[in-house]
Amino acid sequence: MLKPGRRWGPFAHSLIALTLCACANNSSQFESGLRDATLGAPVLSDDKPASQQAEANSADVVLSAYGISNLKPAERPALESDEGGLWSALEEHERMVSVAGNRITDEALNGYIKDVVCKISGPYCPQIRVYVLRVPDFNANMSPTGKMEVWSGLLLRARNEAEMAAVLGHEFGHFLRRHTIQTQRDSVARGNFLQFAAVALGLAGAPAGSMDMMRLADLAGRMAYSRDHEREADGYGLRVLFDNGYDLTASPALWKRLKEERSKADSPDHFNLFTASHPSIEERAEEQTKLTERLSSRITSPQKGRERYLEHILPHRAGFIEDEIARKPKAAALALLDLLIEDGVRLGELYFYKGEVHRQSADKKGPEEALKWYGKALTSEGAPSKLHKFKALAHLRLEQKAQARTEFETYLQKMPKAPDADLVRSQLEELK
Amino acid sequence: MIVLRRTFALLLCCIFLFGCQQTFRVSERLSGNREAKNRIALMPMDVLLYELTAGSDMVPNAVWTENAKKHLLDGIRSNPAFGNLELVEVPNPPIDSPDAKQLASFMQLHAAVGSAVLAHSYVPAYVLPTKGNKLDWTMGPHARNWRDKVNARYALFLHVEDGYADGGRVALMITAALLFGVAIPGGTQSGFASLVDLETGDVVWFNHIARQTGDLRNGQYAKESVDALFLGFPLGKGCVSC
Repeated sequence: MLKPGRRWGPFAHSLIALTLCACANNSSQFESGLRDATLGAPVLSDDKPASQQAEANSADVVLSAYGISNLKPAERPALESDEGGLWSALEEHERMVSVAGNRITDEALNGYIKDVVCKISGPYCPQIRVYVLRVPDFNANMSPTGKMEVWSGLLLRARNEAEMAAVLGHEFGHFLRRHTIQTQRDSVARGNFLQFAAVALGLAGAPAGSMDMMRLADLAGRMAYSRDHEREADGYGLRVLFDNGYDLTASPALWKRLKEERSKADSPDHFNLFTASHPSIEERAEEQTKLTERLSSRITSPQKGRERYLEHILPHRAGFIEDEIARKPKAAALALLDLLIEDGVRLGELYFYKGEVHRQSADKKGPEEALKWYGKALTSEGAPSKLHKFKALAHLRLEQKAQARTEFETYLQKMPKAPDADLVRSQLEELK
Repeated sequence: MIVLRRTFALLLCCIFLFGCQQTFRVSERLSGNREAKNRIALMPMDVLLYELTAGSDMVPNAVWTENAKKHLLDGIRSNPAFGNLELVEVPNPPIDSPDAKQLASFMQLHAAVGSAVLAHSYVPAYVLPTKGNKLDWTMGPHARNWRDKVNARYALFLHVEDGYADGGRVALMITAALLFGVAIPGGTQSGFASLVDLETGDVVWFNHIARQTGDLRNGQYAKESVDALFLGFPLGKGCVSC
C-alpha cells in the first residue's frame, strides 16, 4: 500500500495492526531466504534491447540505495505454506472487491489503466487484475496474488500518466518483493517474541511499566520494518518511470504537491516514530528529488503522457470531486480544489465545486462566497448546467427570491429533463 | 468476504458471551413439505481455518480450509436431517468472470442479511422490538432468479471460521497457566448456516455456533460441528429437535 488503506480490509490490518513486537533480525532472515531462491533473475527488463538494459543496470546501481534486489514474485505458493494460506484468503477477499458497489466499470478507463499497468509490469501483466474504485483518498494497493486497487483519489490528484505510473510502480514493487508475506512473518515473529518476553519479565519480577516499554519498542520495530518496505517500493516507482522513458520528475512533483495539500488542509504530516507505517512525505519528496537529479540525464525526451491521461480521467472527474467534497472538511476540500485549479484544466467545473464547498458550509458568509465562485465558473470553460440550481439555492439562503427564480428558470431551460425538474418547478411556483 | 467474516466473528463472539439457549430459528413462512424430495443448492462455503499464534496473529491455513470444506460437506450429507434431500453444490467460478460477479453479489447480499439476523435475533441489546426473536428476514424477490439458475427450490449458505493455537501459543497457554494461573484462550469455532427459500427470498431457517471446542481439520470431529450447526434443520425427514 502506498499509504495504510482503510479499505484493504480488517484482515490486512490484522496482519499489520495485531502484530506488535520488534526483532529486526527476523526480517533479514526471511529476505535472505527469498533472495537465495531467485538470485540473478531480472525482474523488469527481460525483453529490453541491450542499450536499454545497460541503462537499467546503471539505474540498478543508483537505486540500490533502496536495497532493491530480485525476488521471484507471482508464483503460486504451495498450499501448505503460510504464503499459500495468505493467497487463498486474499483471493476470497478479491471476490468481494470485484463486486464492490464503488467499483468503476467504465471500459475506457479500465482499459487505459490496465494498459499502463501492463507497460510497467512487462512479463507480469497477465497476472495482474486491476480494480478501479471510487474511494476519495490518495492511494492504491496491490496484493501478492496480483490484485491491484486503484483509487479515484489518486486519479484525481495525479496530473499526468507519469505521476500515476510512479504510484502504480510503487505498488508493483510491493508485489515484486512479496512484501505482504514478509510483513505477516515479521508480525508473527514479533508477536511471539513479545508474549514470551512478557512471561520472562513476569518471572523476573520486572518493575511495572517495563512491559509497556517492550510494547512501545515492538511498535517502533514494526513501523520501521513497514517503512523499509515503503522505501523499497518507492524505488520501484522511480524505476518503472526510468525503464519506460517517463519523466522522472513526476514522482517528486506528486509528493511535493501532496505535502502542500496536507499543510493547506491544516493536517500536516507529523512524523511519529511509533505510528508511521510510511516514511514522511518530506523524506519521500527529498529522496526522490535526489535520485531524479542523478538519473534524469539518462532519459532522452522524457514522456509525461498528459493528454491521454486527461482524456480518460476528465469524464469521471466531477464524480471524483463530489466524493471528496462530501467527505472532507472545508479546508481540505478547498486545498485540493486549489491544487486542481493550479493545474488549469476545465476551470469552470473547478470553480463551481469551490462554490459548492462554500455553499455547503455552515459559515454565514458561505452563500455569498459561493455566488462569487459560481460567477467565476460561468465565465470559464466547463461550468456544468446544474450550477444554476445551486446558485438559486445560494440566493434563497440570502433571501434574494427574484434572483433565485431566474436561476431556477435557467436551470429548467438548460436541463428540462433533469431528474429533479418537477421538484424545481414546484419550488418555482412557491416563489411566485 | 474477509471483511464480512470479521463482522460475523465479532457478532458470534458477543453471542458466545450471552450464551443463548436454543440457537436455531424457523420462519413462520416455511412452506416446504418434509415428505417431498426437496432440492437444495449448497452455495460456495465461506470457510476460513487459521493458526492462532502466541502473539494472537491469525495465520490463514489453506490446506486446513480446503479439508474443512470437504469434511463439512461429508458431515452435511451424512446428517440425518438431510435424509431425503437432494443436495447440489454450486461451484465457485474463476474470479472476475461474469458468473463469479453475479454469484459474489448474491453471496454478499446473503452475508449482509445473515449478519443482520445474527445481530438482531441473538444479541439481546440489538433485538428489534417489532421482530423479537422471530425469524422474519428476506433477501428479496430477486432471489427467484437464482431458483432457475441453480435449479433448486432452496439455497443453503454456510459461513464458518475456526482457529487453532499453534505450538508457540500452546506453550504460552501452559506456561501462563502453570506460572501465573492465567488462562489464555486457544482458538474459537464460530459460524452460521441459513436456508433461503428461492421462491420468495425468505430466510426460512437459521442457526449458529460459537464455541471453544470442535475441530474441522478432522472428519470425525467436523461431523459433530455439523450436527450442532444443523440442529433443527427443518426440511429433511430426519429433522432433529423440530
